[in-house]
Order: sequence, then C-alpha cells, then structure tokens
Amino acid sequence: MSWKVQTRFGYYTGSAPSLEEIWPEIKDPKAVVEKARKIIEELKGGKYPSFIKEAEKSLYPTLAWAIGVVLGRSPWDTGASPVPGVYAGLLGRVFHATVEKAIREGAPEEHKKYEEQGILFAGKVYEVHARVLSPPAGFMSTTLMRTICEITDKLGWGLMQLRGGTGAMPIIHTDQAKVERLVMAIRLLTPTDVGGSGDILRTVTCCPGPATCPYAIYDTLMWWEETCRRFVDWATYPQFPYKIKFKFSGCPLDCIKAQVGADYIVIGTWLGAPQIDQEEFRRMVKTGEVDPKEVVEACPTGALTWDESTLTLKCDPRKCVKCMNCIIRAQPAIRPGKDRGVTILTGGSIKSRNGPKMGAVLIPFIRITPENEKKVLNWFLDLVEKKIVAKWADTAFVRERVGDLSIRMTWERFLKEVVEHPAPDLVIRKEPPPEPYYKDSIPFAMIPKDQKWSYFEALKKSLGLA
Amino acid sequence: MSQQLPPPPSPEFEYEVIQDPSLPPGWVKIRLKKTGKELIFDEDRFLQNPEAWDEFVAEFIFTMFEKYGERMTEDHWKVVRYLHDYYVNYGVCPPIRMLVRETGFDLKKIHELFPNGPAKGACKVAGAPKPTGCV
Repeated sequence: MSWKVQTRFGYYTGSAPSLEEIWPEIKDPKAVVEKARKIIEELKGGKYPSFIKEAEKSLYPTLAWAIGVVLGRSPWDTGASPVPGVYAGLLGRVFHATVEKAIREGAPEEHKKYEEQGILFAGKVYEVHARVLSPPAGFMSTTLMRTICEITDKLGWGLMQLRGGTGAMPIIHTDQAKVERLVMAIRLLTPTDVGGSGDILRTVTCCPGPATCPYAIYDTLMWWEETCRRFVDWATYPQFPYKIKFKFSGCPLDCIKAQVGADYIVIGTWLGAPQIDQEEFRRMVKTGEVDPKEVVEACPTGALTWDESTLTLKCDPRKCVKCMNCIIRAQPAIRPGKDRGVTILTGGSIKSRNGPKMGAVLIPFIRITPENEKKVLNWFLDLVEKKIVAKWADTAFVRERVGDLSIRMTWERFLKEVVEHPAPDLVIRKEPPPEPYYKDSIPFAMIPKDQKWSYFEALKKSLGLA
Repeated sequence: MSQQLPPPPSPEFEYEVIQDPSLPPGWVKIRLKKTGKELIFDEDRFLQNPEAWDEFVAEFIFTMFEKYGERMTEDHWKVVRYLHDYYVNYGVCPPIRMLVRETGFDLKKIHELFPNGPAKGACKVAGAPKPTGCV
C-alpha cells in the first residue's frame, strides 16, 4: 500500500519500503552471475593495476562481490564467532541469503571451488577477521611485519587490512576453520595479541608523538602504554554496555582523528600564542622559504600580523585558536607555545544509539611539565576508571556509549553526577556579590518605605562602595 | 548446531532422550533417571523450562556442558545461587559488573570457574535464559 501525506514541515512521507526495495529478489540467477562476470572481466582488463587481479590472488570470493555490485547491496551479512581463548569473540561475515542462493543456482562450480578452498563453515561461506593488537603508533620491525604477513598467507585468506577504520593495525581476514590456529600464532609473537570485538576496551591509539615529532606536546607513547597496562582486564573480559576507545593526540593538528569516534580523548595544547623566533623567521623570509603574507592569510581568526617596516610577526594570544596553520607553513621559526598542557574530551562515537557525534570538552586545560606528567596521567586514568566508567557501566542501556549517556542525562547533569566536576564556566566565573533581599526574592517595589533606605545602605556595602 | 548430547559422565547423571516432534529443530527433551524430571534444552543448550530447575539440574548442566565430569564447588554455588535468585526476582540476568560486585570474585576467577564465561556458562547453569548481546 502506498500513501502520501504532506506533513506540516512540507515534506512528503512515502510508503514504507517494500521487501523488494530493501533486498531485490533474484529471479534469474544465471543472468545475474553473467552480469557479475562481465564486471569482473571489465575491471581486470586494461594496462592499469586492478584490485580484482590482486584480490583473486587471495581466497576472497570476488564473484560474490560482483553480484553485490549488480544488486547495489553488500553481499555480506554481519555475524560473530566465538573463539576459544578470546572471551570477547571475533567479528564475522556471512554471505547474504540471496547472494548465497544466486551462487548456488547460477554458478555451482564456484560453490565447489569454495568447498575445495575450505572456506565453508556449516555449508556457508563464513569469514572471520581478527584485530591484531600491535605496538603503539604502528611502530613495527620488518621482522615482525614479515612474520605477520607469513601468518596471513598460511592461516588467513592472504588478505590483510594494514590499518582499520579506528586505527587498529593490521586486521587479518580468515575463516572459521583456521581462526583458532591464527589466534595461537599471533599470541606466540611477543609484542602482539588478538583483540576481541565484544563490549570491551578496543584498541588504544595514539600518534607517534615525541618518537618522530619535535613538536609533540606530551609523551603520547607513555600515555598509551600506561593505559593499556592498567586496563588489561577491560580489554580481556566483556563487561560493559558497549565498547570503549581511547585516543591520544600529541598536538592540535591531530585533533579530528581523536574527536571522531573515541570515548576518551586527550589532545595536547598550549596557552596563549605560539613561540615565534623573529630572527629565524626573517632569515626564512629572506631566503624565500616562507611567504609572510601566506602565513598571515592562513590564520583563520586573524591573530597574526606582519609588520613590513620592522620585519616582525606578531600574534595576538587572545585570538589564537591553536589551529597550527602557521606552524605548518613556517616550521622551525614558529613553534607551539611554552605553557603546555592537555585538553580532555569525552563522548565521541561513530556507532551508537544516537549516531555519529564528536567529543565534548570535559577539562579545558591541565598544565603538563615533565615532572607532573605521570601525576596528571594517573589522575586522568583514575577519573575514567573510578567515576566515569563505573557510573556508565551501571546506568547506561545496551549499546549506549558515554556520549549517548551524556545526551540522555544532559551535559550539566552528566558533569555533576557522573564526573562530579562543575562546569568549566562555573569555576572561572566569580560569584556575584550577595544582595540583601535578593536571596529572599522580594522585589524592590514590595519593600516597606522605611526599610528602603537601609536596603540601599546594605547594597552599597555589599558592592564595596561604602 | 544439531549436535547430540554427550553421554552421562557418571551413572548418577543418566538420562533418556524423549522424541518430541513438536519441538523446534535442534532442541532436545530429556528425562533424568534419578529425579524423573523432564528438561528441554534449546540448540545452545539453555534450559527452556526454568520451572524445572533445582540443585540437581544445576549439577547436571554443569557437569554435562561446562566442565565435563566435574562437580560444582562452594564457589560455583555462590555464583549460581546469586544468579538464580536474581533471575527469579527480576526475570533477567544481572549485568556482569553487578555479579562481580555482589559475589566478590573478579572476572578472571569467574572465567576460571565457568570456562564458557559468565553469560554462556554461569547463566546456563543457573537456569536463566540466553542473555542478549553480541557474543
């Protein structure tokens, strides 16, 4: 039945989608398979590198992918596979029923090939992918990388995602028959482990930080290691309403990667203006390495000004938003400011009840020096462990992340009850001077005449005018 | 998933399978020889008639599906009794962190006691239904 109604916003709501619209039914499987094969032939031809040619070297069923292209839908359905030794289980993918039927009827020889390759489980093509927990920021020796590649060839489909969507690396594709041996093999390598996919702490990610970058504001690798060490139990046993993710960004350049899709976010920032080495900057302008006009124009808030007569670059610290656009352009001359610290955010997520959202600022600034860095880190981890996660795990619904909880509770209540911190504005703002009568909420017109004068006296005193 | 039940580990736990065509595929109906109770298990071997649960049934499920041929200790009973009381009172299984808090065992200990985990192992022994969740 189709019906159309004009809503008061002027939109038409059409009929509910039919089953045919959600998943097209295949009436002639042989024709669909033929169409799919044509697509594969077309993509294989030509002199350019082809991903189909590469995929056919692995065990990946390319025909199913092409049928998916013909139907305009993904051929894979989601699933999960329990693996002994991985308490949180691993993620899996199964052929969608219609694709399965199309291959069975349209290309039976292809199905026989899957059986020979041994990628069938209970009569269905069942893929499992394991996330490999590796050293922070993707620092891998070539020996380790080679061994992981060898394991992928022997115990996987010969297929590997070098970097997952949220920073896990690498992700190995395999099937139900080999996954147990794959987990054993990866665990025998010293710095790696297999990450589960249930309601646990997923991979903790960080940027390379001080290992490769002279402008890193804090030691991201140390924060990564300390977090992983402290929450081993969280990463092993599923116990939460939904997943937890940490991200550590060394400077504001990396802020978007952190804010999108992580629950607990730490970004390095500084107070005031960036440090400007005037002599170095003049030298760079003279040699033509830097165009001062370009640097000034790149500033989104107009904090930078270039004085032609004195050849000085000035920055207004009140306008600077730490976007680092000037630092990219005039590198050694402009550096992050001296007064350094971190901003802590919470509640970003991509998959959850309320859809994708970015993190919100929890702590605007904590100063960090080499002496107090460990103290701040421990304070942050205590806050996450004892306050936020303890309350979140008790009060949140299933599939609700911290961001959703803060939306449901409202941000003010979240700060007061969960984090037990006042809102940042309340700390910075001074208390208004106390007024007599104000507290009892008696308006001025209602005060008896003889008391009005004494009210003025008291008001003067409270404002410090008397 | 239509696997047959393992044979009884000791003569105390002997049972006989009752053929019942009205059951969904994969489900099994058995009668315990010692107490004469009829039990229905689904394809994941969760108890489908929880009113039949008693301490002998818990022992039976534990020794058949959790640790084959082993008996429950006092620690096992602490977990199972808490889970069963919670299920009788509220009709659902408690969150895992609440189980940890109330029994005083950490998750490592619970996984040692029940190798299939708190959800698929301990809840099964306690006669509670299949907990919802990913794995």
